[in-house]
Amino acid sequence: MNKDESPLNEKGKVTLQTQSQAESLLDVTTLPKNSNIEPRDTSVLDEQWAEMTQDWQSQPTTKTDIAKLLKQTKQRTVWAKLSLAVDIIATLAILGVAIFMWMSGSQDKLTIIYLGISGVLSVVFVFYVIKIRLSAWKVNCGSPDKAIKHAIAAGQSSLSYIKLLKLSCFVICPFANWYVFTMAQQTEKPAVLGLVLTNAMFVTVWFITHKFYKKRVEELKRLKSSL
Amino acid sequence: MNPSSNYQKIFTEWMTEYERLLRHIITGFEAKPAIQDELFQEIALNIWRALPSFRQDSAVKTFVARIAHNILATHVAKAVKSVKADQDIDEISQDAELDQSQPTPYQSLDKQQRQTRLAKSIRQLKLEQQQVITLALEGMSYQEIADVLVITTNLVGVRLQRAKAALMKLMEAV
Repeated sequence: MNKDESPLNEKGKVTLQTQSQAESLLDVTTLPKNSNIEPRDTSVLDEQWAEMTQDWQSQPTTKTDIAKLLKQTKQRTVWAKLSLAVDIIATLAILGVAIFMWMSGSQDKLTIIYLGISGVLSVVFVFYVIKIRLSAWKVNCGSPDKAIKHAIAAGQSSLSYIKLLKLSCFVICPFANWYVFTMAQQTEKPAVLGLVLTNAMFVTVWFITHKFYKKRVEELKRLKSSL
Repeated sequence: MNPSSNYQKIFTEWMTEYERLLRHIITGFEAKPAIQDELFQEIALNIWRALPSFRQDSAVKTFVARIAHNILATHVAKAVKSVKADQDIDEISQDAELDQSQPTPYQSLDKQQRQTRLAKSIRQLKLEQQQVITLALEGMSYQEIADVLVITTNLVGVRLQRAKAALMKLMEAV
């Protein structure tokens, strides 16, 4: 039996699944040099590297106003928290008003239904907003690979939110048209302007969200391909 | 001193000390000045948020560089196409300040050309090579680079060796 075909040799084989696995096991820097390749003079390389390091470290940089940067950073943090707080308060307010009108026996059934449904939908939106915001606020102290995975997860949440927003346009649009039309009838005013404005708003929202949807899909595709 | 004002003091100290390091690292990943500024602010925001979680078990330089690299890795992964766009370093900022002693015009031009070529070449490397080379050029040790990128020192050696070889080739080709 050929020495290479011996089953004993199989025991000595190590299967490496990935390039990085191989790199971490093999110290390539200590492997013998290929005799066909003429190695560069290491002192020249070291000199080149030293020059590069010097050039790199002496690169011109713009001077930042750190006090202004601190102010901006704090403002961004406060605005992000405030925006989330406004979303939550607005949702609770819509539901609160609907419940109050219903409990106090208001005759404006139309507004109670409108606020009730809007409140429920707002809860769903706020759930996604909280999820996205918390994901964005999560401290990025892990490895860069983890940071990319984290960005993928955040991107997927954002995509779900955009899908929901697009879908809600179709769900809310007929309902809003009905509300505007019925309100116009009750107040005996023409409904055309109200209906045009309502539908124009939904079309605009749908196109804007669709633009963001396409952008996010592209970003996610790139993020996934980089892993 | 309350925690908030303490964080403000630490943040100001860190950003003052590592501003150049951060700006240099960003240059290795992004060519457009406007996006460079956005990235700098994004990194600053993440450092601010991460401040309360900082423990003394890691060096500040490593901590700051890791946050920067996480932001930049995500940025590069998201915008593969735009990152490859190159721009001369002399376009980056007219009011850029040089803290070196005044060289002769010839030396200045030559140095600027070399810096342009270096930044341009680094941006053409693979992401993992960009990461090790930008940190190594900042004078970080293998251990520090390993801590920033959360990889072994052996892997740092391998990646750096390859990155240097690729960079030399690109520098000759540019």
